[in-house]
Amino acid sequence: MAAHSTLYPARESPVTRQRYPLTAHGLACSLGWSSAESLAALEAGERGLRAVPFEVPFETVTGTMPGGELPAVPQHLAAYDSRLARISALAWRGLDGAVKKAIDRWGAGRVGLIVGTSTGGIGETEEAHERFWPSKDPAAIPGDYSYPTQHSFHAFLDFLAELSGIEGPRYVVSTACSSSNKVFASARRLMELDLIDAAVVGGADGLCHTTVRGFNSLGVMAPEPCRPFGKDRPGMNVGEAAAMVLVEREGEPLAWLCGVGETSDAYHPSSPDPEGKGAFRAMKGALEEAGVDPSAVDHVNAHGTGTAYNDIAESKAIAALLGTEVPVVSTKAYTGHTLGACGGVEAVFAIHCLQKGWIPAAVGAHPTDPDIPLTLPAEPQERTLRYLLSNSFAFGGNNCSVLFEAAR
Amino acid sequence: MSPRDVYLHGRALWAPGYANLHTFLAGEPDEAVKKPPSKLVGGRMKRGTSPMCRTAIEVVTQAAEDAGFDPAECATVFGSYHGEIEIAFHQLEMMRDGEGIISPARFKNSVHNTAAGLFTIGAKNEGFTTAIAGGPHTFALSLLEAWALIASGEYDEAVVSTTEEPLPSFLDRWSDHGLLGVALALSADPEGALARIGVPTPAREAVPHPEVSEAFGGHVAAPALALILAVEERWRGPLGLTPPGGGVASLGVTVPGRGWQTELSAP
Repeated sequence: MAAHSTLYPARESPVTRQRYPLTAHGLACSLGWSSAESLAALEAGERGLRAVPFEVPFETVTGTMPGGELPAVPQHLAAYDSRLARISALAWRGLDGAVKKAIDRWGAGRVGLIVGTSTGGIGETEEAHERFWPSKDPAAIPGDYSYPTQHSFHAFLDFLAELSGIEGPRYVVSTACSSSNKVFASARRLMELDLIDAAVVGGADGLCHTTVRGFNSLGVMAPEPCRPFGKDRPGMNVGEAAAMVLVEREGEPLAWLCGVGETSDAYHPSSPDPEGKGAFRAMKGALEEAGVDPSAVDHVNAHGTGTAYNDIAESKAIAALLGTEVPVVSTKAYTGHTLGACGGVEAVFAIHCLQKGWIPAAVGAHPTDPDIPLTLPAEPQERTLRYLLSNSFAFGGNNCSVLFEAAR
Repeated sequence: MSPRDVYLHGRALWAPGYANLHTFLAGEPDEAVKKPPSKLVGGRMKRGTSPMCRTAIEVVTQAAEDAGFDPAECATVFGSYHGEIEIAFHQLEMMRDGEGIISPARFKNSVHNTAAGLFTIGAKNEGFTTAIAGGPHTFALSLLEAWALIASGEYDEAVVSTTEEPLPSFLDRWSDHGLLGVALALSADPEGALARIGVPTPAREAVPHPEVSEAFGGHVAAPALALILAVEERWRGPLGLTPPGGGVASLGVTVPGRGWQTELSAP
């Protein structure tokens, strides 16, 4: 076990949690419109970083969905149409059949829907507001614009519930970039308490002016493809995606959900604790819940935004808890930072890595920042993997780390 | 896992005119009460935050204090239907003006978990916090999240809030609610509790709840206020957790089934 610094006091985790099988997933991101396309692109080392799909007054690239216009949502759900709903519908294709089986098996009211998003469908409001602004005349707002069904946080929840027939508890966890990691813990609690038997968890965020311009205002947007953990890295790229995972009480596992650690930095609204103390405690909490020793972790999918502060703080936390030999990769170098969807996206990648016994290359990490003491694979690796930690950290110092275990 | 029982230990409310729950229950509005003090968070940190954010911090702090919880230790759940919608619209206006650059101070305060983050910073709380949105059922689902934290043994104490501010004029055709925050402090400890709170569940039929005053009747936080009023009345049995009419109907949102309910019993 790696030595724990006194910098990192950890809360004692009271209970070892039950593990649950992850039985299906769906993903749509800048690498592809489906899990299969996205994972094939990841394996091929492709990066989905492209031109921003709208005009902004600065230079950057984003993890933009490929293939031009996204398919419209089903006609009977047209009131929910938004970029967010369209991306979510693409992702949903990957697990639609499995969700139908889960509803048949457990009952529609025993299947939950708990998903993360950072900005909901704000892109539709941006467009409506742009039309309204010159004249300030409400008549200029497009007639088919609807805040409740297109923009509000629960709009895409209702859309997915209508699409799937899920009738169990449904809510959005919106803690910015940790949202779609925290949903795993929320679903697991409800399953442990026998309130539901299955849940679709994950997250979605679409590219919008608010986040692209917002991160630029913080001075962290890269004008070029990001290089997490790299020397002189230029910052991050915002991305868009939807990623959903089905977790069930019983079932044929693609991988297992083993532990989740949720902590707060209690440090700063938008900067991480420079020593990564909250990140350390989140990872440690996930391991303790599962009764897994830090030395057993085979791979870390890092939060790894590519910003100066995040990557240093996270690397300190990883090194302090897991040592410096465990392979660490930020897949945001492939997809961009998909914000409220990133935990879901990286969970799908984690499941794939555990199934295949494979680790992607840490693209952009070489040459490496000399202050980052991690093992960052320059090339993809094939190796047996049992435990994989996936990190997501957010504004407000909100941290969440999820531990997955291989099915075999 | 057998769920632990969950008990109510503290309550709080803040709205313009009402500095705390006591003044509301006494029916003593004060026109001088216009901004929540939210003293837990320093002035510099609060700069650029919304009234909703400061109200949420205020009621969570008051509820923790009412229950005798250490704000550095309890888990917190911040519920809001719309989140930081006022700041979102300020940002849209910034995009239309000048060079289209957003203020970094506004942007960092635009996330749904702004109040959650600032509360943990102000309270030096390194534990669990989250931010929930569940449309018209935001309070019931936030309560479910907090209830599950305690029932599962993960935390012994949790404070759950629901806070909403008026929608920007661009959206006000969809709702006309005012600023209101309500919070409840929950614990696994029956000693000194005000009531035992059963698990929030979907309701199979319309479930009664105390009438909430007209001013707050259609508010997303109204079910939290109704729960407080029910405790005042020593209500026993099922209690509806879905906001009555108004705010929900005017949003044009379909409320599935009969909404949500819980059950109150003696501690």
